Amino acid sequence: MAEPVREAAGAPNPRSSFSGLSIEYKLPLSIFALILTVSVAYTWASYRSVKFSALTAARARLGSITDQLGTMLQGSAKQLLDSLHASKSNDAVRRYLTTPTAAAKPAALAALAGLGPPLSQILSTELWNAQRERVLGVSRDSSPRVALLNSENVHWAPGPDSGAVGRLQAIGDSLVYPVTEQLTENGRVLGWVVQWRRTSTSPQGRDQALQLIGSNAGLYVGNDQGDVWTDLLRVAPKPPVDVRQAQGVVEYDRPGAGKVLARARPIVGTAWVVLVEFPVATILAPVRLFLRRLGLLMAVLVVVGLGLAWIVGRRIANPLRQLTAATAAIAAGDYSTPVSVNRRDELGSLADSFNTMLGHVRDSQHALEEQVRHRTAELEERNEELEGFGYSISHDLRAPLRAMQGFSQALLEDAGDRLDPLSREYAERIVAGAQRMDLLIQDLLSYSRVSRAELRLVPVPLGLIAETVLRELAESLRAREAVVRVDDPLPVVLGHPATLSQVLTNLLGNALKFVPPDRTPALRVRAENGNGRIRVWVEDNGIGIAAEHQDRIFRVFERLHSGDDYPGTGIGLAIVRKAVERMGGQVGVESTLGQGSRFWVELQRVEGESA
Amino acid sequence: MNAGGQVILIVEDDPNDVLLIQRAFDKARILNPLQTVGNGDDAVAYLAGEGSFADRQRHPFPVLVLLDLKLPRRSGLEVLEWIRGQVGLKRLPVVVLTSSKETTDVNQAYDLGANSYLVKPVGFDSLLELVKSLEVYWLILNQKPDVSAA
Repeated sequence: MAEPVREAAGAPNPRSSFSGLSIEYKLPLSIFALILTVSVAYTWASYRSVKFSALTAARARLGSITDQLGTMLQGSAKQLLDSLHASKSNDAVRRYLTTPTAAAKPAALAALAGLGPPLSQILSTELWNAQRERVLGVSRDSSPRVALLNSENVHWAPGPDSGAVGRLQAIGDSLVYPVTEQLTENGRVLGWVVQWRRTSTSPQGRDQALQLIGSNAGLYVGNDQGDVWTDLLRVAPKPPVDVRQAQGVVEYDRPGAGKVLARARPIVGTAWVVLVEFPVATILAPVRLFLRRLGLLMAVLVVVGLGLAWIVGRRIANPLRQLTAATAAIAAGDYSTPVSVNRRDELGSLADSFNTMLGHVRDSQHALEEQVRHRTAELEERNEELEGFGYSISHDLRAPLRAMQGFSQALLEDAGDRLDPLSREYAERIVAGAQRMDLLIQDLLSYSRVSRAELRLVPVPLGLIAETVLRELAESLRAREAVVRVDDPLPVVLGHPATLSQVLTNLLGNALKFVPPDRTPALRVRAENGNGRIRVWVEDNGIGIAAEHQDRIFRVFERLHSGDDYPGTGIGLAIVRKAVERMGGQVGVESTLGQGSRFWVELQRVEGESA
Repeated sequence: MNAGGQVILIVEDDPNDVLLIQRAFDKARILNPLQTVGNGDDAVAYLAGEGSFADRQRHPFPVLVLLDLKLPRRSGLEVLEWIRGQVGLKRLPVVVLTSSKETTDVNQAYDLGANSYLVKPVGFDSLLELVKSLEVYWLILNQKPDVSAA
């Protein structure tokens, strides 16, 4: 059965840790990222547009409120003037202007003193002549402030019979302003009544106005020159921007109030400017609240989405895991467990198809195994037939050989003296032929035995094998007076003892055979250790092998020489190669023509053995 | 040689081989009488003293059996198995003399109780050597057990 192939399901891919992540986490993470992106984008866009609307609405409201206030204050200014209108028709004042005599002065002073609103608001009332010289003055206030009053702040009435409100002037804590009434006669300017008044808004009145405006607004009144500003109670710092020049709404930082939207508007008939400021923080407060709520909603959405995605991911990943486990089981040869996924979606049909496939695979696997069993049996049968064939050859083919050889020899021995030399040679040739054929059959049988025999590899001491083989070859070695040198100690190798003996016998026999008759054979057996293998060398001082033939000599029936020069079947080295290959090794030869050959056999080393 | 009655039974179907073995015995000057049977059934009948081999005067009980493995009818291994199964015969020295070198044959023969396993040489000289050593070992040196016909 094949080794189960396990894909690294849990192991993260080194290139990207995300791609190695389970669907159970990958899906929720992706959906989480999606929801988060959408939420953030949507929240940001909503926040931007709500903020924009809030600011636009605030600007519009600021404009209309400033306009309304301007109109309202314009009306108030008229009322401020109304109280001075009486001076227009006051004869005492008119008379004093025309003829400023001492006699007329008390009456004019009395008239001036009676003009205007409640006394507490009046600082002083003055009468100026046509040359713009102050001719009379009634001071209600004894403080030195009166001396500081600046006539440049007076708004000299632009037209006949019309009064005007002048610029504000800060004197200490107080704010004062002049109210002017122009006196004319027949189109000629007689002079002016100028009354200096103190600003008189009550905190309650101011608060009411501010509440009416709302939005934490700031309300300021200033000069048209922009030098003096009041929040209607006291002097206020100037705005950092020249609001009189600005068209529409401006934006700036008011110290203590932060960023504000502001709009200024001149009050007609006065030298005043009204300024309304909306703090941006107040305008944007509902926007911020909206943003918080939206954020909360999105967070809930993200959490819920994450949870749902996790559940969905699990519902996808679990059947897939089951399928993976089942696949691994199949790879391990277990066809018994079908996948149980009770669903009617794609995963369900995948599981169904998988189970169907499982059935098919199981069936064909069984069929295959059956077939393999059948074939194996067939092969074994064939093998037995073959072995029987070999057996027959060894038995039957050699019987007639024995007869040929035996009776030829019997003929030579028993009736040799009655045969002429030619007949004797014939008989001798029969004997030799039979012997050669016997060798051939024996070698063929050896080759076939080495090819198919089951070789159980065990640790074999090469030294012992060499000793045995040399003893068996002793006679032929002695016949050639060969010198054999074995480099002790030879190592222990992994091999089949009888087969190893045959290999060494064939190699030594081969080495001995190919030393020319006039040379004393010098053979050497040695071993070297390398690459976890052991190479055994069998070296001779024989005729050598030309390089172009070195590959051929290990093939069956390959012979380089005629039987007359060097007799042999041409199978010996083929047996060596086959035997060594069957023992998991290799063979080879290094040789120079005329200088001997060095055959090598590479065998497996025994673990833990040192050479 | 104590040629008196120490019969050697040769179980061999090939008349050539029989002739060559007989000649080898002659050449080695072994005077033991040789009895020959050509198949497994005859070998069993001879040893059991049945049928045409009932007359122990003409077919004396052997002291050694040379047994070929490949025989018509009952095979050599079957004959060997039969011998080892007989109460009176199980100690009878049996030398397998065959042309098969197959390991399975060798192992099976020894498993069934062969005393020796020899491969027939092709050369007559070798056969002669073999027969000589057979005589030296089995007929002269070896202490013979008590064996009686059933």
